[in-house]
Amino acid sequence: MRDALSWLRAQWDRVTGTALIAVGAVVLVVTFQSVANSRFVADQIATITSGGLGALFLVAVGMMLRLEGDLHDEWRKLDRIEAALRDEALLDIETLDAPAHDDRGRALPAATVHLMASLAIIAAGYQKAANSADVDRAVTGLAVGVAGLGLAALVGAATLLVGRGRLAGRKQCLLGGWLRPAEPVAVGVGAAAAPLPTAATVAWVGAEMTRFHRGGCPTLAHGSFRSIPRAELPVGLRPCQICGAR
Amino acid sequence: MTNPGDRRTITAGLLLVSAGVLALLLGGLGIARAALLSAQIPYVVSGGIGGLVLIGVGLHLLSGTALGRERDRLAAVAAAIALQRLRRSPRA
Repeated sequence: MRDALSWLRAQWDRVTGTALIAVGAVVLVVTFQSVANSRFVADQIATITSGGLGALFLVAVGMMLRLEGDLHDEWRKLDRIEAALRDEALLDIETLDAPAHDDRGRALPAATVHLMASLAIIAAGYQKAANSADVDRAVTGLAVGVAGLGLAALVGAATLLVGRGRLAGRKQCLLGGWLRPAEPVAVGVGAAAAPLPTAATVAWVGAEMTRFHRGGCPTLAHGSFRSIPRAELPVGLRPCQICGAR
Repeated sequence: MTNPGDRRTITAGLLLVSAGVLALLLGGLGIARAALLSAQIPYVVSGGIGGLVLIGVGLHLLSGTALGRERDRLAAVAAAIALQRLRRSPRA
């Protein structure tokens, strides 16, 4: 039970996001039923403004929360890497709800305020469209609602883009030295006459190792490795996940 | 190289996107065939908005897979550094 609670606390963004997407799908089905059963265009448009746009809003916010959760996970892993590089005490790998040093504490409340504003605009659109037999008035209300939804989409996209940008910057600071492209490596006695092999044509292997690496992989600093042509890789060796050898 | 879980997610994402495109096409077809405006609007909801939701969720699954691979690589880096530290000072 405590495990479930701590899992829920750690994964609240993904759980809430998935729930919002599911609720959005249900709202969409209910909206369709309601629109299909109505014979008045103005009523139908008012229902679309509330149910249809509301469903899209819920799905969009749900997806934003789930992607935010993914980004937060990456921050947490970068925290572990930074702690290890600085020789600090390692964070517990099993601790799912370990706080990450991202700026989520400020970004999410700001996004929430803007999303509430866009929800208010959608509601205003519904107010204009509802309780009116006038189709023109209903269409104007729908247009207001679409504007609110557009604002919500912009807020969600901006929040994710800024989050990804910050994450990429931190990754570059932390791992930039290791992520430089590998230098071409010369192999064999006749290498001078032959074209220089590149990272794509050469793999690095070590005795009794089960994985092969790219040139520049940090693992190569810890052991005895030799480069061989990719075509001669022994069967059964797996690619290293650190350098992303393929 | 993708693991089976990733492959399932990618398949689901592609299926959802395809279903969304199909819903949009069928919605358009329904609207074209309906004579009355009140009969056309339900197609806007089911085909139009429903199609957009399916495409959005499908794309979300596809982009989530790419992020997941990135996370796995970061986890591997963290594990390698931790292992290196343990080897350097086994009592730490």
